[in-house]
Amino acid sequence: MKPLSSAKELANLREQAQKKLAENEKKIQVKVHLGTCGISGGANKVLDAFTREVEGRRLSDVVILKAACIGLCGIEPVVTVIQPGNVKTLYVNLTADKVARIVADHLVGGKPVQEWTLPLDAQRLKLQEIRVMHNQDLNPMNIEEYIARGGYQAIAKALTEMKPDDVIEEIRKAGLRGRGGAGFPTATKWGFVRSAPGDEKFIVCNGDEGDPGAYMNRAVLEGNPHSILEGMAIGAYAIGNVRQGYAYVRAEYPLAIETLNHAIAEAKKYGLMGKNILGTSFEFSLDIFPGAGAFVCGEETALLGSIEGRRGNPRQRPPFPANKGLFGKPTTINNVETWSDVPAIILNGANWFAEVGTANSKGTKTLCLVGKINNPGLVEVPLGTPLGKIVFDIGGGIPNGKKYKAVQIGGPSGGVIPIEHLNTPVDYESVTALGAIMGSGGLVVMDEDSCMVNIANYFLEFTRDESCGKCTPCRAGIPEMRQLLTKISRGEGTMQDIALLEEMGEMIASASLCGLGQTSPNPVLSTLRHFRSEYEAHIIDKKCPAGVCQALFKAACQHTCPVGLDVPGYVSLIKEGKFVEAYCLIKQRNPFPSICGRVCHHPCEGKCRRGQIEEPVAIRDLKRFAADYAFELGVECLPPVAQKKKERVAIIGAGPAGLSAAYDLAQDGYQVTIFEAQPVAGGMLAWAIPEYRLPKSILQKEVDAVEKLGVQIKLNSPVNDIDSLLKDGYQAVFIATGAPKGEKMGIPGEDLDGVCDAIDFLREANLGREVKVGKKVAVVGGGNSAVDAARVALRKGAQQVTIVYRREKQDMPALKDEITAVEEEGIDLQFLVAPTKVIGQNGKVSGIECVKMQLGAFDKSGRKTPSPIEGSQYVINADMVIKAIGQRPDPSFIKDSGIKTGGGGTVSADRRTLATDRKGVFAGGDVQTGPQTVIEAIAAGQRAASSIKRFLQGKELQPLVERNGHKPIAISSLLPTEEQTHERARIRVAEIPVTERKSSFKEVALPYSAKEAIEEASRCLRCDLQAEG
Amino acid sequence: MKEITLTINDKQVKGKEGDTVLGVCQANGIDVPTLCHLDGLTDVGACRICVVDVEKERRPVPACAYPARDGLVVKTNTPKLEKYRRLLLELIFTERNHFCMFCEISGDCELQKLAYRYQMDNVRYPYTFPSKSVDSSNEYLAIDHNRCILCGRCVRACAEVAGINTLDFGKRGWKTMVAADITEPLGDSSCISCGACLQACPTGAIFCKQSIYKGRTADCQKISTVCPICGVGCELDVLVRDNNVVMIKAPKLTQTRGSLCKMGRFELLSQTSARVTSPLVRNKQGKLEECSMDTAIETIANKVREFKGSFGGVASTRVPEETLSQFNKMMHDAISTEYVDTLDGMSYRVISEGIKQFSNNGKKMDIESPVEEISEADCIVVVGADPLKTHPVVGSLIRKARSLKGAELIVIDSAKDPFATWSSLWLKPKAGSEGTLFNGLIKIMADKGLVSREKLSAELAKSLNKYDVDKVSKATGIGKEDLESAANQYGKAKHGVIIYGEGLLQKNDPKLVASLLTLASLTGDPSKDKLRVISLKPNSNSRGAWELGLAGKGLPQAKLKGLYVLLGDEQGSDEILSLIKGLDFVVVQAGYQSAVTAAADVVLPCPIWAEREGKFVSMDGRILKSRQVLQPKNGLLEDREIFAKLSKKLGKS
Repeated sequence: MKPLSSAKELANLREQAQKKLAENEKKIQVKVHLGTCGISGGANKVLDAFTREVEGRRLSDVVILKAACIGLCGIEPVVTVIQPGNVKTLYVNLTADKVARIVADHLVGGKPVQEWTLPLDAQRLKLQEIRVMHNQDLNPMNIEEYIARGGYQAIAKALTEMKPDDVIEEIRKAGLRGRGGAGFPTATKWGFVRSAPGDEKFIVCNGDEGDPGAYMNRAVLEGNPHSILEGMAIGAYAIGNVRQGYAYVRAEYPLAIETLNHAIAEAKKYGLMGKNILGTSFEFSLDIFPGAGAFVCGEETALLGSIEGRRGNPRQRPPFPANKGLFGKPTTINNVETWSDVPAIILNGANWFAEVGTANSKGTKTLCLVGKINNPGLVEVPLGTPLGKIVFDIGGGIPNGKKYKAVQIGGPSGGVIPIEHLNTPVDYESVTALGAIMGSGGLVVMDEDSCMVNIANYFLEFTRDESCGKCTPCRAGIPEMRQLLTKISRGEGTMQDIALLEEMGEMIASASLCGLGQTSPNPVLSTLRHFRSEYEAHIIDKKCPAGVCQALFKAACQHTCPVGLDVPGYVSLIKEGKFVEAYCLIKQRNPFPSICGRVCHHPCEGKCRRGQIEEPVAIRDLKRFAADYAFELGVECLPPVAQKKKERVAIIGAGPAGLSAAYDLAQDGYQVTIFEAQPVAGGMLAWAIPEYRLPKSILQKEVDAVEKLGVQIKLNSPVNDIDSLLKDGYQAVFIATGAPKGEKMGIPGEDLDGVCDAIDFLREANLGREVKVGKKVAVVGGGNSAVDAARVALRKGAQQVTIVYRREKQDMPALKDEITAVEEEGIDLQFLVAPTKVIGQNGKVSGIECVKMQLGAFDKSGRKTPSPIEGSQYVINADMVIKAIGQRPDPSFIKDSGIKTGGGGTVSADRRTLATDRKGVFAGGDVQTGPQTVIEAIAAGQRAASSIKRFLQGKELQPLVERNGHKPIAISSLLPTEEQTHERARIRVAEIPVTERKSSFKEVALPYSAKEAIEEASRCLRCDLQAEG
Repeated sequence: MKEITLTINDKQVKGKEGDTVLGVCQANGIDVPTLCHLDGLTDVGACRICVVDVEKERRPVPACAYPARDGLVVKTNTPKLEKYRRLLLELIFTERNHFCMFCEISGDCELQKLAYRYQMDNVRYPYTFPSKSVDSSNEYLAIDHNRCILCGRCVRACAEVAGINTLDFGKRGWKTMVAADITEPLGDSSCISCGACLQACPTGAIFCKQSIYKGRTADCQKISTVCPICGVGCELDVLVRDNNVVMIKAPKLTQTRGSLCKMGRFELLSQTSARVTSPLVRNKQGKLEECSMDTAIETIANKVREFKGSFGGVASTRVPEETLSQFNKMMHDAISTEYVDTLDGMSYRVISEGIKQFSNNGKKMDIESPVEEISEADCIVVVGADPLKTHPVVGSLIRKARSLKGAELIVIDSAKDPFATWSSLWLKPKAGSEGTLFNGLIKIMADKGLVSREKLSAELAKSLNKYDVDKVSKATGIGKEDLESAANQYGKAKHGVIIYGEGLLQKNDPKLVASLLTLASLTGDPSKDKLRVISLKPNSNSRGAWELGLAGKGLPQAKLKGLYVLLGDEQGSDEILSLIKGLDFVVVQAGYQSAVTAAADVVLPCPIWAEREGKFVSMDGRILKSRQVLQPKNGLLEDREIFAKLSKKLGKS
């Protein structure tokens, strides 16, 4: 190959190269994507298999080609098959043994093997804007393929048609900003170096990509090396007096270094690098400098020191590299992606580049999506794309139905952006405004199982180790912050530690020498900003809400349970066949095992480590088993009761909160009276949860057990004011009246006959009163009440039941099992639908007008906000409309008592001590928090009992719950056997047939047999023992 | 330099362009605390104690490393900055184990002073209590890493003052440590024990084993004097307490002159030989025995008379000029001899003859350059010298020119290359071929057009004709490529410096010196009357002795029967022993006992360096004043008193 000596020769070569590519296009092209991820996933084996198969079958119309990474990291190896006419098929998750069938069915038979493909119209592909990564389908080791695509046309254009200042002006107009972190305008940077005096200047490509979980630059280095070379040559020309450039690439990227080296050699051979480029007087050479593994060398002054052969320490600026850089000469340093953006801007023009992006952040950006995300990998989107779109629409959301929590942007220098900011446009300013930084574009997605104290600690451990150690704040300050974080994560922290963290973080951010130090406190400061309550939970409540900080608990399941039930303990007892002991162990912490064994929303199972293998242990079902077993034997496991004390406590409301408080207080000998407005005890358990989920007899037995401790329950006894109770000699009052009032829909026709509230409907039905049920029932809402109301209506004789919900199924707050049951029972679920009007005839309901909804921006809870689609109204015929769109407390009885109320009709009380403003009066459960769950109400009752006891003893209230002591129950300390840890599906409880249950109120779920229970219990991994040992 | 005006703490102050903000503050009496800053070293802004607010800067900047500009608005003492400083101090205290009451430097410690200033009566953050070692492997220095604050002053002193780069930071992040040669114990490393690091250390992390617990700076008297050893003429600050030397320091660390060397800083402190405490006379049994001064003087006077006409004197050049002058006077007037020289007389004769030959008796000694020239050099030629050993400070300057400025370093020495891996080229001429080599280099340079025409006289050009490259190569045994490379490096240098020393002078051939001067004269800056040539004169007052006319006359060994030897603090060397061998009568006047005093017939006790005072002339002609730092013991006569006694005895006063 004779070096190209003019732009004309380059154009000729391009034509020839295009012809070569066109030859390939006449055949079936099999492109194997051979990035680092692909190769480590086995792409070379797939390549070999294709070669073998195609050669074996002598398929002369198939050509096998090598290509680069296209970012589908989670589903490598990836192969693109292109049939003539540019008909593309994308195979993912390939293995060598799948190749024979693809060759037979697709390459020979013409029929793609659909089940192994990723559809080209998949959102994760469709929603991207591929610009930087537009050559990843080429062979990076072949310069002619790059030239065929228009490669080196930009440098030719710059050299022959543009003055250096024109080039800089074009970059300025494009609005290109540095892709490496701070987003400094590239043209301005070049301009500084251009105007700096000196006849020898340097340019550097920063390829020291070191953020954990970020590797977008690697993909470009491996996949499109010539775009970097060409961009740098253009930069050298624009800046002037630059004859030498350096590419600083971390040594951990061997394939990138190999590819880049090859590209440099090819460019030299083709006369596109070295002296007299394209026959002009322009000269430019590039050398690679492999980094030695220090993260800080990504900082520009450290990087320069490293190239100069010194220790890679940052130095104080000014002087800036633009004036005094490499070897003391004016130097510009740009990131891989920035250089790679340059040729396209010169070739296609500034307007083309700036047509995507935001006002101040133009163009696209490659991002690296990792962590708890369904589609990990590289994505390229216009700057300004909303975060939620990247995480949910492109990234596919969070695996295993977990809840999204936050995303860490910018690696260890960045910060977390929490769920309420999913609409944030991902651009330099917006991300910075939230306390994070764009960085090189690494996005680590975190779900509910990520502890923010732990995350902050993790990133600080990284920066502690990777700090250069030069300046005091960074070197000595980060370890100090880590010590404090570790202290907090062990439950040994104090609120003063948070103040110390903030003081130190601010100082480090202000006073550190370089960007690494200045940004190093970001993970702490941003988690403190957005997740302060999580820090406080560790410090005050000794709780790690995410169940991560091991020092705080024996087992995550137990830690997550609001009442701290010893889950591993009773599961182990069941495994040992000690079912009664299991029941008694549960009863020590929870007065309602058989209720919770049926209706608890079981947060414990969400944290079960077994779930990381296949499925969590069926903790709730095991609890029910133990409770049912004890019931059948007539065992009650009542706790001992202390000698009767003189103090009297009044509890308003016999729901789970009130009963639990009474249960605990009674054990200590306090005289407790519960005032209940309804004719039955149990609250929502009694009248909101239908018989088929929680048989009344079961409930009654556990309520009876409370009475057996000496608690007096006064039914049909509404309380009208607090003062009279205190006057009656009650020393303490606990308000636990729940949230019994239905919310209004706020649409016309709500008052028509036939419109009722789910909560009223359920109450009447459950209390055995006569309820009128229509033939066609429409239920509005997506929570448990909606589902219960629909199922009760069905059982009460409705012929057609429809649930309309304004969001999507995944957003329904109802328990997942219940939603499945609803579908099984033939109830019609209509999603993305909202009622606009209840239609009536003669004052009676005849239908409900609905409008279809579309999802827009994210709301604060991380769900997309529905909005009506204009003109999409339709009518559902109905003679009954049940509204189930939420409940609220009804605290009218506390008026004039001096107790404050909060939002949503709640009674205000300290959330830890449950003390109201009125001395001796406490409030907890739904009435204080708004609608929550049974187990949380029980926990609130215990919390109230703890506070009331301290109050009555004249002690200061405290945030931690003091519990009654119990006789210990011996629990096996045997770890599961090797075999028991092997993958094994969870044993599902049987249910009565759908046909039978539609017309009856018989309990749907059947209990485990003893054998099943033992087998299921043996799936427990006994994390409690492992944590100790 | 241009004057600039800044607003600091709402007051207008003046500064000079090129100053740092800290520099301007200090010049205007605005107190900004510092730790990693040290005058004479590059500022790096590492400790951040000196951070100040500068208008338009988003974050506080270190005053020490921030360039002052006209119109800059600076605040040095806001509550926020003071809070940061206190927090930084807390951090430093938590990071390592700073237990002041056990620290040698307590009371002199910069960290401790700052802690008092910021009223650090408690530390709110957790202590780390790391397990750090003490490296005491070096003979003179120890590093206690527990007290290190990683300010990097020692590292910079090692690079910028010592020019050796032994110390650097090892590891990174919170595990960062000051390390010698990355992993070596200091004693096994390339350390030259110059003590620049010791002087730079703000805490007790680096301390001198000899000085430890002998007294705080405040308890000592500081006396400025001059080093009595080599010809460089380093000034010393000697700390004295109770008539003992506690420590020796350089007045300041500088990049252009350097600091002290191992000899000046530590060896002067650790003199182990016994003093001569009383006059001694060799008795009839041939043993030296104590006697009165009068007896000793009498014995000498008798012998002087006996050996009249064949009695000589020789003096060390490590004593003040006054002593030398009095000695000279006594030899002339009282002993009436012309046979007087210095111990290094021959070196000086060769240099002076060489200069005379070069300049046809026109120019004087100061045709040579001061050592500061080395710092400017881009090419250094070291001929027959081992400055690292004999003149370590010059050695440091050479290494710094190479490591910090990238100067070429050519060594011409037939025996060894003292710079080993540091040199860029080592020419090894065959014995006796040095002159051919020098002339050959001139010839090659002339042929390449690397010398200016007007300087190359027709006569000289003609005389060079015989130095054909091939012939020179053959005669010297040096490859042609190396010859050309040397000619190129030196000829193309903008600031070439030639340094020669003992190795060359011992050839006893002034022509060689003349050739070197010629070589230098052809390339130097014509506007300067000095040549960029430096001869390494061996002793602290070699040049002073020359200027007195004492040195260089030579002693007629064959005619001598008696010799009066005046020593400085030298230990007896083989050269002196061979000088006195075979003489009938030898007087040695010395401060310390040595092989030379043991071989003498009469020994006269005299003061040592610390007890003398007077004028010294450094090898590059600086006039220096040495001061008495210790009081001599009662009864010890000063040099001049001894000379006076003998003169009187001989009838001269």
